[in-house]
Amino acid sequence: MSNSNRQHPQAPGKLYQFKLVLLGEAAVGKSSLVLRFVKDQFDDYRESTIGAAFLTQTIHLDDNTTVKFEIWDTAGQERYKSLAPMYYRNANCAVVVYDITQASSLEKAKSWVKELQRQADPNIVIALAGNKTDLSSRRAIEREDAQAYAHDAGLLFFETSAKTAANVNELFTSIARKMPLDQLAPNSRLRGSLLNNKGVDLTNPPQNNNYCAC
Amino acid sequence: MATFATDKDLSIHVQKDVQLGVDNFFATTRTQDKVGQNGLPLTPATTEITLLHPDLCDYVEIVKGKHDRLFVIFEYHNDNFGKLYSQSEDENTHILSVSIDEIRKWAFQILNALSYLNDNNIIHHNLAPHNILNVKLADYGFFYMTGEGADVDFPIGYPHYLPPEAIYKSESPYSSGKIDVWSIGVIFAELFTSSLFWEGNDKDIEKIFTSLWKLQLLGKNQEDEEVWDSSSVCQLGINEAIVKFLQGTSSEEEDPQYVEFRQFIRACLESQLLDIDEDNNPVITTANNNHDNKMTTKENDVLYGIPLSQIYYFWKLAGGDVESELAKRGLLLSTPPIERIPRTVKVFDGKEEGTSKDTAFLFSDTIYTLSLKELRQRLEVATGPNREPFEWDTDYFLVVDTDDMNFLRVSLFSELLREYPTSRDEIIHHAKVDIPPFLRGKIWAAILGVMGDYQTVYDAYDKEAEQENATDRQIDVDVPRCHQYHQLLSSPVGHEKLRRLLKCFVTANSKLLVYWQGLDSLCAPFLTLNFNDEALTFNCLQTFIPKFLKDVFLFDNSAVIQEYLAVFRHLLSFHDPELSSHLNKIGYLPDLYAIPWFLTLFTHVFPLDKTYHLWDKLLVGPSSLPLFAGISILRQLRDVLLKSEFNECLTVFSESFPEVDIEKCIQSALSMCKVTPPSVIFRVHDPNSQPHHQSKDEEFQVADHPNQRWWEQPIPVEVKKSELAPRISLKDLVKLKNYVLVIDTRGEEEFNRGHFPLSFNVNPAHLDYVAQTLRQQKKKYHIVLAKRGDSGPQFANDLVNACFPRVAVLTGGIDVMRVDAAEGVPVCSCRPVKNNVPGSKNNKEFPITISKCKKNLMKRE
Repeated sequence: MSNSNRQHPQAPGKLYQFKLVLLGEAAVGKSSLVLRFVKDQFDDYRESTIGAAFLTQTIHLDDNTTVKFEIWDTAGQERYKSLAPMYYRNANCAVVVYDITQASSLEKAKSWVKELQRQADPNIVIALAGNKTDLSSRRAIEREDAQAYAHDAGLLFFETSAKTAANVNELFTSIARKMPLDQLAPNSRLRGSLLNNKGVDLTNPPQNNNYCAC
Repeated sequence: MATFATDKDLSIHVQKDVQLGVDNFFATTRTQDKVGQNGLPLTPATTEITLLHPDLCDYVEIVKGKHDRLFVIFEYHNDNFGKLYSQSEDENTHILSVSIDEIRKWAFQILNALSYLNDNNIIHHNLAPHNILNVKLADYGFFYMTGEGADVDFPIGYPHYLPPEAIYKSESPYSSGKIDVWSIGVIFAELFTSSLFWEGNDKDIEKIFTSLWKLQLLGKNQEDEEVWDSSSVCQLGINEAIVKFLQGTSSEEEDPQYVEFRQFIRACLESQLLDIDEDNNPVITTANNNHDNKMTTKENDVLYGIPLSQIYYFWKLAGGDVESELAKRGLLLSTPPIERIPRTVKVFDGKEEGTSKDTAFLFSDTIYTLSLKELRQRLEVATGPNREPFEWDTDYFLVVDTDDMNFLRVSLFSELLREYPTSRDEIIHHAKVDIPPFLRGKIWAAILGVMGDYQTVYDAYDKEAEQENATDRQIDVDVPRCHQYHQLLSSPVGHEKLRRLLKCFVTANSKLLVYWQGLDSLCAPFLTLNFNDEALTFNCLQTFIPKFLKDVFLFDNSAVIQEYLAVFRHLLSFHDPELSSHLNKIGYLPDLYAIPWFLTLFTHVFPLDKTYHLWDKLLVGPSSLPLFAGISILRQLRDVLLKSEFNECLTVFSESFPEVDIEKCIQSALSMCKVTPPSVIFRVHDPNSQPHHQSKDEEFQVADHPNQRWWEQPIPVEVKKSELAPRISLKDLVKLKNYVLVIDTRGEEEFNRGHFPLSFNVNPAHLDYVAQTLRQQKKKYHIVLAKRGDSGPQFANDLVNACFPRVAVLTGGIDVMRVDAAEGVPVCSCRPVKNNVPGSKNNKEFPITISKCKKNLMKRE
């Protein structure tokens, strides 16, 4: 089960770990982007994601710096939205994906960005990814428009194709570069978010009422 | 009426001279994948023909072989019209003359069949004497299943029997049932006149094409006049006898029957101008269904009365494989690999080198029959007189996997299904042993209790209605991603069906349930098993969901899902405290991995073949079985999980689902289920859960709910989620009797005043010191008895973390015992025996006391 490819034996230098969450409308290619990034594969019939899927990938920024992404790939259907906070809570970075052939998907992406900026960690690094450039003949969203929006909202921006691998590594690498590495102690997780080794905080404090005892 | 009385997989009808025929052809190789919506490629067509008509030969299966070769297996009869044609030494074809009476009998059946095809928008387009088998039409689906010829690289139809418009298609695609009417006219004319329609050497296709072209022009120019009366017809290369017959100039006596027949044939051959309606045609209204019964299968034949689809299934079980069977007989024409070098090599002068696929190999109209000899032999042994009769009721855990057994199982279930719904209990009874795959779809439906006129129920729903907001789009993007490794689900027809079913589900439940991603996967097992019966698929889904996934597809399902996952965690603690404790410590909670498991009952995580196997058991099991299946899966991977930290654990289920032994998973789920008291599994949203019984005892009443005692109030889901161990009812506790250790955590005084018989009284803070003593009791269940508002659940958590098996908290504590004395356990008020165990030396509480009740008040039976 270990993702051995591209994972080198403990490289010398500093290791940083980040939690990254993928958000976006259904069938825009979130899982495909992850699959391309982590395994360098593409599957035409990638099954839909229910709940969330989890993968990790390590990249070497330079001889001294290694970044490990813990990637949370989420379900795209609007109904699963209530689960999303569970996944983006404590995330250090996010990739919000839209499909360049589906006009509605950019709107959805914008609302995710808004939610992240309002609800998630205030220092979260967000990237906007316009996926499926291999289908550019059916393009419905102009690159310039999305880019202008990304610029205004302070997001990283890439047009990608999980199918052809175009810009996929570039997307994740530039996220890694944008992380404030110099402010962090290496070999520890950013901002203590995952110090207790729990990826997400699911437990509500037990409520103090007379139901809970026998 | 019996629900499945007319099902083609079950119905007994005595087949005449029936055999399995095989056709094979190549689908066109697509150089470029077509791209559908959302950039997902469309997959090549696979279509099943689902028509049922007594005058049509059934299609049994369509199999994809190597190199895009398709095999079509269908009902075949040796007797066919082709037998009336014979070739003499001089290469001339002779036709046995057939009387008008005989033709009339046949015509009724054939036109009946054609009319039925026409109603279903299917054009035969491939009619020829050898395709009319024992007066049943065969090969009628060929044109349809190849997308009207678009999916194959060869023409469909026999030019000798095709009308002009089929050859010279006008700009707009001109396909209609009239093509078949022409063919029938030609065939009957040939049979009646004993001569071929086209004269001379009928191999000269070009000549026929030219004549058809002229004929078409003739038809256009002579709108009002009868084409066949025109003298130009004589120069078209049509046999003289035919022309004479059509023009009424033959020497035959002009009896009315003859004239009528001639008019009928002429009407057929003017198909472009005339619609044939058999109701208005006096010639064929005299129905006569007296078949030639000479070839009837003998009653003592093992295959007697068995539906053809079953025979084919058994044939496959006995090791039959169409492709290798035909290959063995040397019947597969194929090009040797060396000659299959593609013709893409371009020499500088523009010439292409290499061999192209020889189109002559793409299709052969020869029909082969599958040999049933071996199958007969095997079945005769299996059902022979020396065989011990099988006792169904006693051999419950028998492994049912031999072919012979399969044959008996299929026969048994066929019989029961024919009597369904009366036989439902019996079906469920036998299904608990094993479900034969061949009848799985219908057996599942019977277990679920689908009955009545389900077709009408399904038809009544609007399946095209636009759904709110994003539902339509969501269905559209999910369908082409759903189990696409499966041939049927990846076909355009499969996509269409799944889309319709999901939309119908949303419409049918619009007041309550909505479409959640995952519902597509859930539908997949039913659809693949009942691909030809959409209505049955739908009704299975409709009865399945309230039974196993009640409220899961509510607009707001979070309470349902959260409760499900909380109970799942309790059960894991109950059966594997070490694993549960570990996963809890590292924060690896079910919310992170198990939602797709339970939302789709594993269809989203297992391939379909595994899902079938699992569902065979789930359907006949209690509604909690999926929870236990989930625990079995975790336990199969426990060694890996116990060694893993949070991230590694997540990856176990995320990247690709790990290999799970389904058979072991089911066995272990069933055995865990058997030793789990029902109150431990209790879920508010479980359709089978019992409502709390009401009481009037004032002492324990809750202010807001005067009819409920405090422990009868539902536990809020947040509380359930925070606890590791489940709750158990007094009723269930009493049943555990000698296997249970009740650990009372109340104060000594309270304990002395009244306690559970044989229980131990410990201070919850002293678990570390008393654990060994408690373990030495070697009890299978550990039940915590605490005071209302006390830390019972917390102590239960500690027990789980200390790896005590089957820990639960008694719901209602000592209060419930006082009220429900009727349950058979009086509160014991003996003087308990005190034991001291060594505690910590720095601890002032040294030594630590355990009080034990020694009176076994439960022994009275």
